[in-house]
Amino acid sequence: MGGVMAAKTLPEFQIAATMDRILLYAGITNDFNPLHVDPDFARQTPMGGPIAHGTMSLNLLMQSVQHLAAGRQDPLEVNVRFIRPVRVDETIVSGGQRRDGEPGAYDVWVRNGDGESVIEGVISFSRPE
Amino acid sequence: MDSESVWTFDKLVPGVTVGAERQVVSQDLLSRWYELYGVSPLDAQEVPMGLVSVFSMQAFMNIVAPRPPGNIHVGQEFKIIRLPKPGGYFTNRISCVDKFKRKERRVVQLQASAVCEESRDKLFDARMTIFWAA
Repeated sequence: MGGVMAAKTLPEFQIAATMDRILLYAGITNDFNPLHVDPDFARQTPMGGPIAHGTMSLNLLMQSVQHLAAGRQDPLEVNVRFIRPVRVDETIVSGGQRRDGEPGAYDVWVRNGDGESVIEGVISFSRPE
Repeated sequence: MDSESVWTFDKLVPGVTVGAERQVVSQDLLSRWYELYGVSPLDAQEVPMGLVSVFSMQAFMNIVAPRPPGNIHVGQEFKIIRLPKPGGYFTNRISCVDKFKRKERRVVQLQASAVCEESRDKLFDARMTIFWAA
């Protein structure tokens, strides 16, 4: 396990935010906000069209975190901000990097196809190795 | 929507529980998760960690309803002590942690706190920061 936590980076995961996925996620969370699921409504908002649920992207990041944390039993803290929306059919990638000088802490992110952050934040384990 | 019943900014009270619901990691939920995110090598050993946010959103959507249209979820914090097990039931309680105004924005912080039904152990806290529309 020590080898796993010595990792400098989180494993990266990627998905495309297709409308099918957004609708599936709306069903899982019971979040049918028209900004996510109604293109006609969303076009009339400042977003100009439907966007993915923020936590749909966050969950991708949590996959990266879970692979980093594999086998650990200590509590984990996560603190992120939603920086910009993810539009339909954008591909997003999750990842992160260990913080220098802060054992157990990682800067984490989800980025869109242009390399822009859509989520940024930090995770930390309560018992850093 | 009955405007009297909407959870407006004024109705939310810091320190007060809004409600709670019983939740479970069902096979149906896991199947839909894998359809969405694919199956990863850890899935045979552990429940996907992202389900913490799914359960928190489910509780929020079901308990704090109806909401004013136009809320924006801007931040999320988790403290994950352990993950629920497949088939295991737990109670997820939604409370208002804080609310304030900042530059014309109404900001609300809500927390979902999950406790295992069988052991009574805390599973996770999930605190969401939301720009509240009205």
